[in-house]
Amino acid sequence: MIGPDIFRALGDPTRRAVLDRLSAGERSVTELRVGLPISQPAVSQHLAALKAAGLVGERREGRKVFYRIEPAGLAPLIDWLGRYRAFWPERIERLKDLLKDMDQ
Amino acid sequence: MTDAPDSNALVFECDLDAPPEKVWRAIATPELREAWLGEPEAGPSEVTRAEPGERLDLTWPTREGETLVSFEIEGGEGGGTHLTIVHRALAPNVAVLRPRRAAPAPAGGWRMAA
Repeated sequence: MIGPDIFRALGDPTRRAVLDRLSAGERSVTELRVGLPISQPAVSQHLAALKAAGLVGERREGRKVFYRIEPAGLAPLIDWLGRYRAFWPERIERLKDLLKDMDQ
Repeated sequence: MTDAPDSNALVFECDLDAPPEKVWRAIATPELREAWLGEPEAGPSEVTRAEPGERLDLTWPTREGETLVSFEIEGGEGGGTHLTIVHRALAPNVAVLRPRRAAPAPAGGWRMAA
């Protein structure tokens, strides 16, 4: 596997909620936490996981840190989709061929 | 038994000109399955659920992470088989990836017929 597991990073509902909020634009941890039933350190921990997966980037302004979606981080997922969209129709053709060759 | 609609899974459906028992054998027998499906790109797959004649679930490790493939078998017209393949990443319903968003996402959803 190349790099961190992007699917694992996206597998957590809180992290998906954080990403959903960031999709509206840049946010600080304090802003991200509003409405989420978790502590600020927990939000920071999820942000760290999203950063490690390349899905979120940060910008520092004095003592404040702002987080944003890193569009390039989604590229592996788009790549995965592209590969398997081609993969399955081709495998289905191979299955059809095999079924013809199999004994009843 | 089909799971609830999952907007983030790749779904392929096809009609096969063979009875369901035969299609089940081609999918559930490891040597036969490997003959048409091959091996995952990032490690061995593992059967996580098997309901003979109806459904087989496999883990499918990919370069981007673990994924799950489900094969669902139903009797089709004229003694044939309707096969549904659902391939999902372990990340259901990622809002930023939904096509309605500005973030790059495939047009028209991810569901398709093969």
